[in-house]
Amino acid sequence: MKILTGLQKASKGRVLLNGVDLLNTKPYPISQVGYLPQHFDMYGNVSGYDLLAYVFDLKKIKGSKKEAIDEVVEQFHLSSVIHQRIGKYSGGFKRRLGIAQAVIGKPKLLIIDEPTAGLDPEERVQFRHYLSNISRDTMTLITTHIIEDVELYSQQIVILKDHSIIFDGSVNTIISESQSNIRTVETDFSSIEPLRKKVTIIEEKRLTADRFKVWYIGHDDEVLGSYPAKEISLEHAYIYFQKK
Amino acid sequence: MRIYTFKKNNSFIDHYFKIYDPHGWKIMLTLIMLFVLFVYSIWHSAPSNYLESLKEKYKLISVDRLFDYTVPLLSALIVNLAFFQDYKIGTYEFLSYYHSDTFNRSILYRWLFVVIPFCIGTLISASVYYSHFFDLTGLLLSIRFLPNIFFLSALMLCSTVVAKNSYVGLFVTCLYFVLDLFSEGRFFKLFSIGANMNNVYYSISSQYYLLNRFLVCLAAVCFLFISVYHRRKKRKWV
Repeated sequence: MKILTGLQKASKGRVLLNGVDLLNTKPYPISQVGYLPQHFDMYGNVSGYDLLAYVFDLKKIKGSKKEAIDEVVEQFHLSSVIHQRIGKYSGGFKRRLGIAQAVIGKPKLLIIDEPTAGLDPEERVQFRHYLSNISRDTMTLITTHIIEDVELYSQQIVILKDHSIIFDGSVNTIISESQSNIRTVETDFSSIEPLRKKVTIIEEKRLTADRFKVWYIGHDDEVLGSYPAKEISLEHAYIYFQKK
Repeated sequence: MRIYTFKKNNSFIDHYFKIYDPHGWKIMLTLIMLFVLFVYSIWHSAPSNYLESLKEKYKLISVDRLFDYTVPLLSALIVNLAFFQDYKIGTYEFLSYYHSDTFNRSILYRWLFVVIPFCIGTLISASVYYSHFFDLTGLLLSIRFLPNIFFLSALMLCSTVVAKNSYVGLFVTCLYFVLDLFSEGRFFKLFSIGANMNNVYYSISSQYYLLNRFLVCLAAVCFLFISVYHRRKKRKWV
């Protein structure tokens, strides 16, 4: 993320945005790339409106400042707090203000680091809706450890492991590629521990007081009574690629 | 008739009192300190035989300590206050993204917003302090102390920015301050800010004194350069 946003140099490689080399463009084109860091925070005594006005001027956006600010305030439902001090904002409002400052001026690329980290479940759902709406018009790149963030709306998923890309494709592709390698078995509590030693377990689900359903990475004949898993979630596929 | 108009677009200046100093209480605090300094300089000015005493190689420690050490320390503390939140809540990362030039000029401007009032205040107050009214002698005597303000404020800024921690900046600056003050400049020698208080000009030599002033200024410039230079470390894959 830091390399993509120009905050860190790359030892090799290039970052191209519509043919423009971002890393060699001086100064870094902040008007074309919106960025929301993971730990977005601003001085508590600054109002949300003043921050957006400052970012508007820093990005050197052409057009009416008021209209641009009003547009993002409405888009992210910030009107009730926009003139208040940021110190009074809840975590959800702060995150919304963060995305508003990234989106203002309609950048071509939006980079968001851990978009829903620190938000409660309700705010997460709302924030995902914002991301899906933004991604219709803007190329949106997010990094996350929370699978639900990408499951519903992402068109392309890239999985990194040990600084290398181990998967690059759609949700359907990742699931289909992992499906043949994930099996499931129903077992009782006493059999789970030996099973853990034998195979790599992806998920355990309790069916009754003593019955469990287990998803694991494996092939035929390894575990008696196992069968190919019928429904694979993105989380299963993600763990498979991380552990295979 | 052709009419030309232009607008100077300086986002930083336009937004300084909305983003970096809302309600202007940092600048107010600075001005209050400088006002107190000015009043103190009128009421407790240097003795009338100040210059004669210096020529006799006396060290007028209690007289010169105010502008050699106290005022630069106050300036450095205000610098620490101005940048405190950046590293406490991590705002610096967000601000670095929006000031992505080779030199992060916003850091320099924010530093100048503190240091320039202190320099002007020192020029006025020290003139009154040493010559009892504004004249050339007073102005020349007050200029001697400006390198100290630059140096200590720049040291505070540099150590804060490099460590990304305001407490480290405070510790480093206070450590330098205490060691230099209590060793009477012997610890840091040419890089001491106590050259006036220790009467280096007459007790050692004028060349040594001027070299000290030059090196203190040069060190301040180096600290500033390190602070505002946008370090983009290369990512090395393991």
